Amino acid sequence: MTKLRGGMGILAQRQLDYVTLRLPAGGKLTSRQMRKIAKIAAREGRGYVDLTIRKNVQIPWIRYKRAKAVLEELMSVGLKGGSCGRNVRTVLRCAGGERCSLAEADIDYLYGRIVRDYMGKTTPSKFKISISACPKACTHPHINDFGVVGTGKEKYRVLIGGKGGRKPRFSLEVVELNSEEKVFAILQKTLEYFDRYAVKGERIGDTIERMTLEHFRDFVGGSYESIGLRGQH
Amino acid sequence: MKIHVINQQQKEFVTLRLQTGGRITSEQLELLAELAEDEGQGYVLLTMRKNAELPWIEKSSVGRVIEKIGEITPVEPGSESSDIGIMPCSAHGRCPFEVADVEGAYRSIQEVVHKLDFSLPGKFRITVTGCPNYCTLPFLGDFAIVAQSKPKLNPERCIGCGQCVRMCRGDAITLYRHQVGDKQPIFIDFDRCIECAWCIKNCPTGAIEEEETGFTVLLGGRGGPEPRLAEKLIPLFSEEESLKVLALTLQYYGELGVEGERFSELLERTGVEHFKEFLRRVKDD
Repeated sequence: MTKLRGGMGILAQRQLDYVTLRLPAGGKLTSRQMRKIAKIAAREGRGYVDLTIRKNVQIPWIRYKRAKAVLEELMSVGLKGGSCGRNVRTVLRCAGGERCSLAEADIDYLYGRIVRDYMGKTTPSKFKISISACPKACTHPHINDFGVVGTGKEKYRVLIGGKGGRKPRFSLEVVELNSEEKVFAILQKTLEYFDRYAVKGERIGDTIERMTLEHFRDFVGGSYESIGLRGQH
Repeated sequence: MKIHVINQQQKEFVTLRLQTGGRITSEQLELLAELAEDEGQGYVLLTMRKNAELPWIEKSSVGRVIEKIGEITPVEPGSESSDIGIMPCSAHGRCPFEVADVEGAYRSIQEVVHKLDFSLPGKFRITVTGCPNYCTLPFLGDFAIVAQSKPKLNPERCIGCGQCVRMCRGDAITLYRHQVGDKQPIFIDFDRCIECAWCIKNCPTGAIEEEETGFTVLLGGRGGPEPRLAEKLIPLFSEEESLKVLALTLQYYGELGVEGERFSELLERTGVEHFKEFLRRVKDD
């Protein structure tokens, strides 16, 4: 099978001449982007696109040789291939305060800054972040490596160490925070911990399980103390 | 395509949710782009279950927008309270990992749901997944079928190269180096095997073959504030059998569920054994 690595969003298909391009749309597509994608899918692919469970868009059936050119073309509407390989994947978010009637916390700034500072950053294995603006948690923060749930104005619950896949696991650690800055602090520390202690290919939850939760808490500890820990989920 | 009308915080606007099944054609995309520009605010949102949402539609123009969508694709109205969503893994037919193409099963499930002549107490989430890598999170839905394949070793063909050991996703295969050339160079631990068929696909000599391919049924999961992982109730089923289980599950839920109760909550109330007993009883009749 053709090895396609590097986090460029070029995914292998069973049909070796073809690839699928993954575009981390962040759950939102503008009309301009949709027109571009529609044209490319009709011209280079098979006239359709797939949506993914992390709110990305995928254009299948692109000839491998054309992949780079197509990705370059998509740059003109602000879409970049990605969200594959060992890095911080597409940051999931819900519709949020702008229009969802359930939203309790404003997540726009949080989302924007996490995307700006962390998305695409290299990690020992994939690292998935999900943000929900209310405890109904429609974006499944429990089964993401790092989940944020808005529980009120300026109130956030951070969930660490969940994963989906073959052996799903809910998050191992739950922390209640009272400012966005603290969310960034914990995320930063968590990624540092992941970088330092993870064996290649292991998700953060596995690392925490192997090294024990106490060990993880000790490491992140400095940033915890001012926050107050809620204990295990 | 089912279309749901969803309230927004802003009373005069609604969001239209289009149940896409994870796939949108270029024509539909062009239309969505146009509608988003003319009737909404120039963008479309994607959802956790692979649907597309058209936000900021004025209440008075909902009919017109749905009509326009109806011009290029058949639409039916969705009911918000007892809605059944079906989500397939969308890469079927081209994903390197898939055990079986689920397109057929997806269509059949749509038919089962379409023929349903009673309403359900709450929403019901169906997931159709082509392999046990679980990319569509089948364990967080009410009902899921997952294609799986049991491997079988053909010792005559095995050259003991260890490719399957490296590829195995369940750490289930052991290589006996000292026995290479002997009758059984590898050992498959079926307790650990997740039946993903990755060893079958990667064996260079075809020494690992399919023993049996079918669907596993997952039941009673949910996401949300108190997530619950689905239970793997039953071993491998044929497509027909799994459809039968789906029909019976819907019947059980329709008969016993209290208004607003999810299937997972019903299972917690009545007990999994009660449900299994129901399945057995109906099967015997």
